[in-house]
Amino acid sequence: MSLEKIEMTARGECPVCAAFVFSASSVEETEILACPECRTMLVVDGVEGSRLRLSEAPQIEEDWGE
Amino acid sequence: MTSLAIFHSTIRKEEKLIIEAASQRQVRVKLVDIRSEIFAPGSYAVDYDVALERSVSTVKGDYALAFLESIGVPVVNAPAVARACEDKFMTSLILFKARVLTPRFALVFTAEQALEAVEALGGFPVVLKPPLGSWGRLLAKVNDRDSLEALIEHKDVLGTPPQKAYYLQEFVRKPGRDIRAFVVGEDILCAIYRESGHWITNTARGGVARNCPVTEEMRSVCGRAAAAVGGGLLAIDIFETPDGLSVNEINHTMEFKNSEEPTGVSISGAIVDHCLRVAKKGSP
Repeated sequence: MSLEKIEMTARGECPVCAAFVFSASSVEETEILACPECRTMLVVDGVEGSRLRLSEAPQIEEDWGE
Repeated sequence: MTSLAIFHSTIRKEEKLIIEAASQRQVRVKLVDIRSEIFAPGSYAVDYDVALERSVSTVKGDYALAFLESIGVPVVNAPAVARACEDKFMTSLILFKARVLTPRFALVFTAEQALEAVEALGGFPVVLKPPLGSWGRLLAKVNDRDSLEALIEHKDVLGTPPQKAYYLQEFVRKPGRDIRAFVVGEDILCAIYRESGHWITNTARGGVARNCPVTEEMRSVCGRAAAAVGGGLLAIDIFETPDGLSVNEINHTMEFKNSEEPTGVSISGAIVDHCLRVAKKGSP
């Protein structure tokens, strides 16, 4: 019997369509994720254990870039 | 253990790669959301050895660098380098003065002057860009007078003040690609071709990254361009022209997530190593 490595994930709820949004547990606050259902760009407002707090990502502004 | 503060506004793939590279080097990382900071001298606490500015907002990043440098924090990149690179007209002036080959350019404030400038740039087509901008946004290849006048009228009516400075650049016919070179200090680390059937080759606009072997000419051009703006962590965008390699623009908070795999180079590792050198030296 082999032991499979279980990848830790975090989960939140899309504020637009209520779909579950998953990410790796290494997700950081302010990271941008895409909702797998409605494709809205979301920002990680907080990570509490395995729970993500999500809101809609801010719009790109004029001075954004590299 | 050296400590590195990463000032950010959003954690992108690039920041995650830098965090991982720092961890591999036993460097303590402090993530600082730039939007939560109060930059007031006298009361600002610093508990790290060097600050790396990685905010996606150029304006916020500029203020952070200026403040941190003013209170004696070693910063990457130096504020003067950021100022030299963030505005395309300023970068062009610096490159021109340093005799680094760069496309002909002009800055005007009216449609009439734009038409006159087009003649000096070799005629249509020309490229109209906002002096402050990134990711290939709001670039226009202007093919004739009608288009130029319409674009300038739109910018004049709808644009913010920075949009009403019209930076014109000669249109360079590229061989379906341009080059992005990654520089640390004044030395080229690696480079990619950005290939696209569109004249805008940014990977943010769909350009595909492929490894570009570093040549002596690239080494020389990048070294001189980097030195001209003050050196640091730079991404230099280059056109291949009949006259040689021509520097289009220089980016001071480079994105590189599409470039580590094709080049096989840990750009994130090089970034952390550069920050460690700056921390040791006490200045960029």
